[in-house]
Amino acid sequence: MGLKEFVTRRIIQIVVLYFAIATMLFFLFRAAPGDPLAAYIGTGFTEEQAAQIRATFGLDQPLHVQYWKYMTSLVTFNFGLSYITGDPVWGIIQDRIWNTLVLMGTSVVLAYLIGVPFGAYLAWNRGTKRERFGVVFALISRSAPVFWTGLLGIWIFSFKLGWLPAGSMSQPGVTYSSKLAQFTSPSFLRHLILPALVQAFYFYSLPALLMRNSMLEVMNEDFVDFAELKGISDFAVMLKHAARNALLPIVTAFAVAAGFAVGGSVVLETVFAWPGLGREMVRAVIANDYPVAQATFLILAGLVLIANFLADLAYGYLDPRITYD
Amino acid sequence: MTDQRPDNPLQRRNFLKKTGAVGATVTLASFAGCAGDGDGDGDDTDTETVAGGGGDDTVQMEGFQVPSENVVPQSDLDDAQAIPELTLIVNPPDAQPDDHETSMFVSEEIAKLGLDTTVETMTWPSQSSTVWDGTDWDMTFWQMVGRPSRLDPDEFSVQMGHSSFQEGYNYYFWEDDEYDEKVMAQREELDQDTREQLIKECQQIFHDRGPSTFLMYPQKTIPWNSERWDGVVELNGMGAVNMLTFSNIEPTGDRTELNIAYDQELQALNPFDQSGEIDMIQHRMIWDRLAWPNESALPEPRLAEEFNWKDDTTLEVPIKQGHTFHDGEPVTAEDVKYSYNIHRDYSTYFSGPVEPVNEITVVDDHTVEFSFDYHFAPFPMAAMGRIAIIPKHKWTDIIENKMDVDSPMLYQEDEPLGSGPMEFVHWKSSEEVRLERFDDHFDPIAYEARNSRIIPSVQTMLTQLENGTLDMLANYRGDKDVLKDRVESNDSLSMAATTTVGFKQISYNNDRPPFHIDGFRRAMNHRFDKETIVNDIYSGWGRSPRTAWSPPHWRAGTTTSSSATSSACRPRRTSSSRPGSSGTRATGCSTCPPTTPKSATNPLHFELLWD
Repeated sequence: MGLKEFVTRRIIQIVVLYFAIATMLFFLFRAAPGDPLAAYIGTGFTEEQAAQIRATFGLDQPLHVQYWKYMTSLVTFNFGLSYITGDPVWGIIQDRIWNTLVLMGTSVVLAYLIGVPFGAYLAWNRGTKRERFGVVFALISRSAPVFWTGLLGIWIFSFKLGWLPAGSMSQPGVTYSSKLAQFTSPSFLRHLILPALVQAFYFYSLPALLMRNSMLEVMNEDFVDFAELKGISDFAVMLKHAARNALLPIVTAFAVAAGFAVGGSVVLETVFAWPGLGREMVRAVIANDYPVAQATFLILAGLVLIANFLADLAYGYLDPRITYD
Repeated sequence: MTDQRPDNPLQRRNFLKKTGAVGATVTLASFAGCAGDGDGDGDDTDTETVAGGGGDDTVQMEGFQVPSENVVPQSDLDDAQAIPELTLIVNPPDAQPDDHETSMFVSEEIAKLGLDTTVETMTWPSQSSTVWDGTDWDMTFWQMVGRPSRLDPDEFSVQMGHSSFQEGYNYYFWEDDEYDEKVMAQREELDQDTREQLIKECQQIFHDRGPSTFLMYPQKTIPWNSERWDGVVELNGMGAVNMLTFSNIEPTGDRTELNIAYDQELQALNPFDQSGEIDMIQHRMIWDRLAWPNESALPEPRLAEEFNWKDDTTLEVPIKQGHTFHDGEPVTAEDVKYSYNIHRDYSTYFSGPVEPVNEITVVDDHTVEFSFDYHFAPFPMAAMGRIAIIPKHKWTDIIENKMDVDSPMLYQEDEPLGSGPMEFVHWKSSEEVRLERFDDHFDPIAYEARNSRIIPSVQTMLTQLENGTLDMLANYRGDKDVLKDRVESNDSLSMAATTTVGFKQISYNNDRPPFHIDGFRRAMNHRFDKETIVNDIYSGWGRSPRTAWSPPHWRAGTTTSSSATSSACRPRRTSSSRPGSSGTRATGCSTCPPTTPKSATNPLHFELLWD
């Protein structure tokens, strides 16, 4: 099977999976007790008004009709209207997607910048106390829940040391002319440091341990011994020969990690009052704002699916020995 | 109203297992009916006691003595008479852990009566929908929060008790003709003492019939940076987050912006809606009202110059002259009439309080006259304290061309325009709402801007308060003992803990067996140890109830900040230094001694009914 066939097959799989997830979400949310419009239809509404509002949202239709409309709307990325505000869902979440992508993108990049050299260092120091300590430290950081490390980070860097802001995305009262202006402002970057570091602290162990294992395999290869025999310095051998060839699984894992990073934004965004997609998802679920909740779930699921797809592609591209059969 | 279904000898078989009363069982209706007179002291039953259970004359159950005439042979009962498993609805523990724990405690207490009970968790919208819109529920944990309009007893007593509100706050389907009559009579009563007496009689009826069980009156704990800000007003029954605070507060140094944290998103900035707790202050900063409460919770003229009752059914209200909206257009009597008529013409959150209004007349540019169908005593607080004065010149176009008049509460202005002390600047969803000072207001505030920040994490908002990013936490929902410790360890911070007019209760579906039986509800009421709930579950941050409707209610006068059983950090009170201010201020202290309740000094206190 060639690349074209592989891509076509994977895209079909992704589309089927995506619609299966969408179907599951549709029925799961409707299985929840209570009227989803309870928050929207206040006590001041008459029966007629309430019925009219239900009709506006299509909730007066039979379930299969609602389902059909929902699925056909998804094709055009029309997620409907929020049950709480009545605003288009896409308008509500598009701002938050960028906030989440910037935070999680930064933390994943940081995690790789720290984790990859750290993993290489551990492998190179195989069998030493430094390696053992490093592995234990990596496992501890992977085991520590983000809400705990987040609060610890706030306590140390915001409360005790006063170096960094304790959450939020900007100083009170500040507005920006555009998202770009906001993301490049010193105030935003200062607010970004702590949550990005906290998440990177959780993420870095994955590339670190992967890199370590991969390096250990590579270090047994003949070309490493040959490089050492040529008299090349240890550092150069590690960096230019061993690490470079050990990077393959790390690169492919990056795509998967990036997808899961976006999905894992819920806790981090709540702790740091970061107005992102994860926090919006929590709010929507608690408020029974099904259209927004469904949309956030679907977007997060879509990002994970796409990331996995890219990882598959990258793997085959980077290692010619891999075939698409 | 008497019980419509007197022949309900409901019973569960496992009563016998609990009581050990072999060979006999108890009809719940009768059993519950002997539970006491309402004071819960257990000394007023007319039963004989036979300890150990299973005697000839009475049956001893946990906490109850049951007269033998109420005991019927088990063989007389059939399956149809069995009480089904009861369900208690509450929000998930992560929303309000203490509320959930209370529900578990209540469930265990009910189990001791031999009844099977399940605690079912639902998110607030689901709970709200199930209870408000449906009849298929048994019991629900419910909280009512303190709001300015609720400082007058009318709102709670009418809306939660009158039979015509069964699609509203009387969601538990309670009916009592005598109550209906008295609670409506208080509305029309001219004499304040008589009105108060009527309210107390309503309380008595409510208590005797027990459509719901009041569990506690919670304390609202508000911490703020007292090193930077002076003039926080602790409004009786409302707490420190109120319109007087944000009108009176002033910086002690060079800080010009007030940063306040809320843990939830604003629901709406719509002058016809005010359903969210967070929305209220923003509303009152943007839009003026004719009235608002003073520190004693009595309505005072605000945009109005005075309230002039010309006769029992005619109220003349002159408004302040020379005042303008934020766009510079003058505020006139026509705007006032227009603002009130919207609530009369369309269905809004405030349509109820203007229902008794027969006609609104513009007397001159700055005087408006309200004519009523009958004397409506709560009008100043229920309507004038709540209805926002909106600019007719802007809203005429909105209503004609932009707004769905069937749903005015759903319309959101891009830039809300009012005449209040602050102008709207921006609302960044999930981040903040920013208001800036309106310099031309008749009661100008002493700071330049107010930023309401949305911070969902309790620890994060507390740290931001401690490190100076925030100045006040408007709705701290975390552990109050932790808050108290952190405030006490920080010289910059102070905290006010105020018993509010809000309350927590277990409501019963009065339209459904077994809760349609008065005695059964009363038995439930006495089963729950409120002191345990307040002291053990809520760590003393509240007050156990002895009456329906909250202790610091109505005409309570100036009181201490709290009547808590815990040693909360108390603010010292000083008289206001600000010219024209009527508020009592709370200032910070770092070594606060425990205070004792002062409510008993108030002769008009509702609670005295039970003392």
